[in-house]
Amino acid sequence: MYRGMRHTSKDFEDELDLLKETLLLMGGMIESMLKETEDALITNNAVTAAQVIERDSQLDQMEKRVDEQALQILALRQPAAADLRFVMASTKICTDLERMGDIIVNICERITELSRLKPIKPYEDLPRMMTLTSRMITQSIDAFLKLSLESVDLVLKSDDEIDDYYRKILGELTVLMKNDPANVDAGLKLTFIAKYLERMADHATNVAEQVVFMVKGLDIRHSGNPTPTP
Amino acid sequence: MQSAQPIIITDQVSIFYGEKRAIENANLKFYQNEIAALIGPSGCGKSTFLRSINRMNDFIATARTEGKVIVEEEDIYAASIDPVLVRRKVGMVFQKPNPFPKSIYDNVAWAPRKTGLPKSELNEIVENSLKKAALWEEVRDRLHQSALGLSGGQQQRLCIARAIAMQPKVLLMDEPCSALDPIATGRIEDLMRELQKDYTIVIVTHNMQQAARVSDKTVFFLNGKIIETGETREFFTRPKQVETENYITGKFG
Repeated sequence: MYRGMRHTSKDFEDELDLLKETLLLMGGMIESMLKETEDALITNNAVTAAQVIERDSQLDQMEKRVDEQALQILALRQPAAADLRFVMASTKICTDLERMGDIIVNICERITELSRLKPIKPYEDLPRMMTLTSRMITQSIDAFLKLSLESVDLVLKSDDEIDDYYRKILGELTVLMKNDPANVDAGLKLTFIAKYLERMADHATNVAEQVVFMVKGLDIRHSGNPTPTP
Repeated sequence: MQSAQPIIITDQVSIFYGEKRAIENANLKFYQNEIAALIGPSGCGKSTFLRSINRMNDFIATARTEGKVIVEEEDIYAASIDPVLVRRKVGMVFQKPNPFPKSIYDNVAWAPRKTGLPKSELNEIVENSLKKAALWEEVRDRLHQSALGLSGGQQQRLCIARAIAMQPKVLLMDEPCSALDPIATGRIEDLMRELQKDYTIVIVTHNMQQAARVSDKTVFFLNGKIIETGETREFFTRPKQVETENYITGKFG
């Protein structure tokens, strides 16, 4: 389905295209949900957060569709080589995308709760972390769409930056909560949001790693020695 | 499973039909207890190559072989070599089951009998060969009935028993399951794994899933040339050559 050659069987080609298309739809939905979540956080808007939460069920349905399409291809086409790697990677990427959707729901739930609380500080690093996470997701989906190892590199490099943001935000919030117990409610929720974003970035990294498997047949998962985040 | 020393070495083997070169400089090694699958599109030369390993191409008037095919350290195309003895060492099973119109017993005993073995030894060879071919239990009570009364899958296993009756070192199989249903195919594939304990098997197959299922090593031929040779698990998941990738994923340019 890539490298410029077409399959002899047009039906098979169409099935692979459809699988890719469904995953791209999932990716596109994640990107737009996260954008709205960013707006909801900055404007403290529970209504927008609720609208985002509602969209998650569509992602769940798409996850089931991807699994069904992959199952059909495996059973009926017995794919090999790059096709096999693509189908295998698709089922994993689909799980990562669906998890991203669940995390966005978690973030929106915390935003809703925060909207009822007094703000403890102006948001600075959190929106930046969210923007970076959003960019990583776009890059990972771009890597999948174009089979671009350059985009993979961008994602992998950003993951450390996300971890740095997380540690910085956690440190600041810890000080605020220690200084004034009245800050604990909101402080905890913001800590959760930062942790959720860090998790989302991990899922974007997973997607990028699957693209390497698709393109080169190499399994680069768990090959580094990342510093664990708190 | 495989030993360090190759049992078959092909060295710069080229095969011609008249002026047309069907195989070009094939260099391969096959090891003891290895199952190797030869795959490629129709007309790529894989069956021609297979037949060169036991000099079956000698029966084609226009065929000519260059290079060396070494089986157990002996060049089977050397002037001093008797091709009949080569075929004892390197047995063959064909696409379509081809039992002789004789009894089941006589099909298996046919070649050993030619060597003048006594009846008692023949009985033993027939029983052992049929057991190794996973057919004994099904035919032990009707050994003297016609082999033509067996099902297609049983006939093919009988042909395998016939091939191993001469205790070869190597079994060549030219699309041995193409005329069989999936159940009979499954039995032959299981049998190949059993036979692997005693023999080296080289199989030509059009069925890529079969190559993936049964072989340890896969060789891809295209237009008479070997494009890629590799461990089967790697070959079907991470082929190195674009031509292999295109062939096994069913693509055209």
